Amino acid sequence: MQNIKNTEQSVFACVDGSKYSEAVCDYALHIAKELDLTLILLNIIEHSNTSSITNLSGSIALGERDDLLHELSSEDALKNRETINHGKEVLKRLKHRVDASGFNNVIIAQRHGTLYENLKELEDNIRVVIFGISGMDHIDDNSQIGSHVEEIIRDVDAPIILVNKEYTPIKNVMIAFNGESGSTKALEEVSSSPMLGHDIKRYLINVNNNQSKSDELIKQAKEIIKEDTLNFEFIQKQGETLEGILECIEKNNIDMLAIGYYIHGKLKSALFGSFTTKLIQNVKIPLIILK
Amino acid sequence: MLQKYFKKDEWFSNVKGDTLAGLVVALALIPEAIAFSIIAGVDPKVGLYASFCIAVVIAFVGGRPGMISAATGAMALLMVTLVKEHGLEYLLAATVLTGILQMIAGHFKLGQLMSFVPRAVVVGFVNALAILIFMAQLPELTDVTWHVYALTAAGLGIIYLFPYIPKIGTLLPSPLVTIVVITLVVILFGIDVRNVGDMGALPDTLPIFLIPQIPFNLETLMIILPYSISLAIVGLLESLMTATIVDDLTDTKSDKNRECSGQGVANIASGFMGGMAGCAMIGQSVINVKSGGRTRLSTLLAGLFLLIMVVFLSDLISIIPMAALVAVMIMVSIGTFDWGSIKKLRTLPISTNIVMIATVIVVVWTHNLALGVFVGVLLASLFFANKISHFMYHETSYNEATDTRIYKIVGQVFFNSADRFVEFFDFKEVVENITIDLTRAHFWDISAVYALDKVVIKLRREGANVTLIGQNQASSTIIDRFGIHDKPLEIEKVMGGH
Repeated sequence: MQNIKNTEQSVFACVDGSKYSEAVCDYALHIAKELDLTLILLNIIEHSNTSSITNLSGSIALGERDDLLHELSSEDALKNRETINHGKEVLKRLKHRVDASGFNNVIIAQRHGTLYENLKELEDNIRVVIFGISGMDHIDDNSQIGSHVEEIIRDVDAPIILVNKEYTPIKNVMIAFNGESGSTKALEEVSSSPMLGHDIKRYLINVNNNQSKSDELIKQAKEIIKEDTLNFEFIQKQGETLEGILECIEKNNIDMLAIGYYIHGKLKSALFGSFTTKLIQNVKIPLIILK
Repeated sequence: MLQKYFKKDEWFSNVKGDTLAGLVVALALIPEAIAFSIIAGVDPKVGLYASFCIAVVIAFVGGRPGMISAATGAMALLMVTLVKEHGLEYLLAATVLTGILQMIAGHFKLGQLMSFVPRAVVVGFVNALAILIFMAQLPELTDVTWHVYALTAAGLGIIYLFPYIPKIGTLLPSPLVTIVVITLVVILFGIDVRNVGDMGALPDTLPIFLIPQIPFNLETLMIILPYSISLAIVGLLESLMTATIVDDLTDTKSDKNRECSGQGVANIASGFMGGMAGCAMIGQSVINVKSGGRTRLSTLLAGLFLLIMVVFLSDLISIIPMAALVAVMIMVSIGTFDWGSIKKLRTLPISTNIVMIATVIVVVWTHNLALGVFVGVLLASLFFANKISHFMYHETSYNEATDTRIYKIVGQVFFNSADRFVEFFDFKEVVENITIDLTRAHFWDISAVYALDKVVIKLRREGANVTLIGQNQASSTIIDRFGIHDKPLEIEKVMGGH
């Protein structure tokens, strides 16, 4: 297994053997092929913050601190070895899957820590990172977003793709555009770059109750896109943003949604979750998120 | 900001373990808070309010999830004379000031200064603390009837043997069992021994916000400032040491600077709520981890459970015999002691042991952990300087054709090695030319430069022509400018190719 720190920019697929791992791998493979970059299958060994050894005796004897350290570390060692072996199997399986597709620029890697910590550290090497919306913690719970997802999309400075369903070929993409820097970047990412392929159909949606403002945003968007080369459709809608976007996804059979991470007021976001979080919870197709 | 301060994982990733641990810790905090109040010379309620406030506040603002902070022995020992000479109100004011100083320290990221405290000093600190906690129990054990000894011994017996009882041994906190059993024995047999109620007032209400009743003037400030400085330093030292212990135990990281300012906020809150200054507790934090506590939740619950129990059960708490409390505190003292350090004494270098033991002696002598750490750090630095000064040697050769004596100096020249540097030169030798090659010497400070000047002048005075080679490299390395630590080439130059 290679050390992936200081590698060149690559496509990262974070897999842990939970139900979206195959899908994550397939989406990542698609993008790595389109971008012609190395695909890194990354398995993170998360250390659990709990211990099965509980002793409520509340007493501490001579040298107990050292004993406790030994006890806890050997417990962790055992758990970690198991997790590492499980991860290795997952990686092996997925590498076979990639190899079978004929793509051979693939690296498998394992790292300790949380997904967030590792992505933050590898930030500069990430061209795009893809991971499943719910990790092992919430294996059957689709509505729950994985414990670290929010932190990662807020803090890690790299394009992120969240996978929340089985892989299906990407025939089209929709950009939710509101003029903020994140959504502008999202627009640039899926229009000028070949990340998703050249030939897909692109939709740009702006949900806005102010028609003139909406017109202006569409104009702004058109300036960003080199119109001649692309197959774009522009949608303007009124009403509630979330509903508007969801409706449009359904109607046009959209395969992927690109958005910018955007916070409406820090306090509100902290208490009730950001709009992005709400979107993530409700959208049934993979998302590309940019800041 | 908010997200940074409220991470779901730091609160709710281990709810069951944290709740149980919080309860165990709360039970263990009660006797400690009472005992430390007695050390400081204030009513038990001062320590109990402090423990509640500090635990609850630090749960939110601290930098080390799963660490327990409350009223501590290290801090209590520093307050004794302040309370004796000026009273409780001055202590509360000093507590607030301590908090302010700690917040400033946190703001300026002084937590990093911890890196100047060597391991031996940390160990000395911890051991000294254990000894002081034990010594603080001695007044309860002198001039008393044999009953007290018997009860204390029985208490210790229960604390250490009860956990061996299958099943319930690891389910019930043995210090609690001790307190209950000893209290029952004393009541049933009508033994006349001192109890907690005799030591002063217990809380009967929730703590309320109070501004300390002191004259706000310079005189007051000059009274409390020295205490606050000591308290701030000791509080931060113990907190950062404990944070490291918890880091190691749980294999996770902590935010040391946030912990510093968090301790400050907690102490300010404590001072205004009628509590004394406190800090992180080594023993309690170990108990917390051992009981399964990992996140901020356990710290918060420890504080809340403590308050609930104390306010509603104060009548019961007041009848706890001091002997039971002493037994619990002896356990805390034993648990705080770094036993491994004693076992390692024989294998460690003598200088390390001297530093550790000197720290312990100074602390036990002065009852001031800050002084102990100061002495320890000073000693360790001197030993270090002495070790480094050995990294210097010279080579000398003589060129007959030109009648030239060549001295080549390699290594570290600084205040401690400057005299030896001078001794390298043979001033009695009569030669025409002298060359001093300094390309591989490293001049650390002005003492080194001064020594070189002295040598050159003396040699010239004897009538020799003195040439210096590589002087520029050598003195350009008098380093007050730094930031080269990440450039291997630069370091190579500075170290003269060692």
